[in-house]
Amino acid sequence: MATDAEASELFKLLSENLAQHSRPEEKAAGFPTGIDAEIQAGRQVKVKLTVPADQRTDDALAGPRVTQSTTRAEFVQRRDLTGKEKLDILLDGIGLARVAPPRMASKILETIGAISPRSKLENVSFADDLSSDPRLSFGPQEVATAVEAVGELQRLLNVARSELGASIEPMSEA
Amino acid sequence: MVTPAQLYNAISNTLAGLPANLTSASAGADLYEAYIWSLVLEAAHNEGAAIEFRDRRGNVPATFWFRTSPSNIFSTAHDYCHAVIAFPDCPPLEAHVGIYVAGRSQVQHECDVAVLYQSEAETCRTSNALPRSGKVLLTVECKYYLDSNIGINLGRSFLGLIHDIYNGDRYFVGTRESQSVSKLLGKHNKEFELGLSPLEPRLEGRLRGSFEKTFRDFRSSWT
Repeated sequence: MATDAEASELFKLLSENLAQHSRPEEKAAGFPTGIDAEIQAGRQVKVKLTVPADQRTDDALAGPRVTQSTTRAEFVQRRDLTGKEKLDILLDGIGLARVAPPRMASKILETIGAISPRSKLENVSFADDLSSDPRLSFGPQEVATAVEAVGELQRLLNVARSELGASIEPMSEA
Repeated sequence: MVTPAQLYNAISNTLAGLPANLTSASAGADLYEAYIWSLVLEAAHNEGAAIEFRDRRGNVPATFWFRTSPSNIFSTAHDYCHAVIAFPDCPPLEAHVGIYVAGRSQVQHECDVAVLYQSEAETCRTSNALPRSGKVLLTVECKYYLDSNIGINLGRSFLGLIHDIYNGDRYFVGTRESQSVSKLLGKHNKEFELGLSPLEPRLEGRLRGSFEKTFRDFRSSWT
């Protein structure tokens, strides 16, 4: 079982790499800064704390007085994430940013082909009303290449998760 | 046992070699909506529907055009496409990505994924009108987030939205878990799936199952 320090080491190396080498359009989309912000925010946990509880007592003879006691109450407390938790969040982020998009494109094409085999679809394009050119286009060959390329990354992320991360449930592989 | 340095070297080398297309930045949110749309179609297919693809003029498309930004169902900017879902002995439906519908307040709302009656869709395409929410069988609000910023405000907005487009099944779906949104929507008995992506096939199957129930109920109401 790896130590938290080892998980922290990998987290630090990967974070620095992503900060330096993420693509400009990825930075604009909040990757990896959004993940950094999530890690900085820490985790909220419920805790029971002992707090002073002053009570006013009305005594008919002595008049009102305050009696001091304590009580246990539930609070929401922020705590820092462990190295393993930070690493898990980062690995999830990398998976969603780099592995998921080709897998989603693949799913779209697979579904279209499977449920309507007579369709003549050769290509998929994404566009908006303001531009005549598509923002994104892809076909089966391009998607197959991309899925193959992210397969190795997915395998490595699973190894990192199982060797160093807090959770042991790996991402599913295509 | 692999060392952190070894893992880092392997991961960073692989990251550097990935193709630039089909990443979160290029199209993550757009792909996510179309991906959810494909799960809706799978669910309809599993429930016995015949499915075909059409562009706005009713032609069989060679290229399927999805919307990246919401627009009107009658938009002519591109040959935007949709799926036609036909259950036996039931009125045909259409499944769209990124269209506006009119709520009961007459305010227009964006539906990331919408399944509506084909008769309503055809009327709106020829009359430049917004589909009425009462004719929309199923909608999905899709949130592609890389961090867990699917905050409580998005959950509250969704509750407001479904109050205005109140008929049918309304789903809230996102890529990352959010305790606050889960609590809020769970408390209000709303349909949601958080943490959903192709990397989580168990959640994918559960959401598809929920869509199947929607189509099962639709079929039952007509047969």
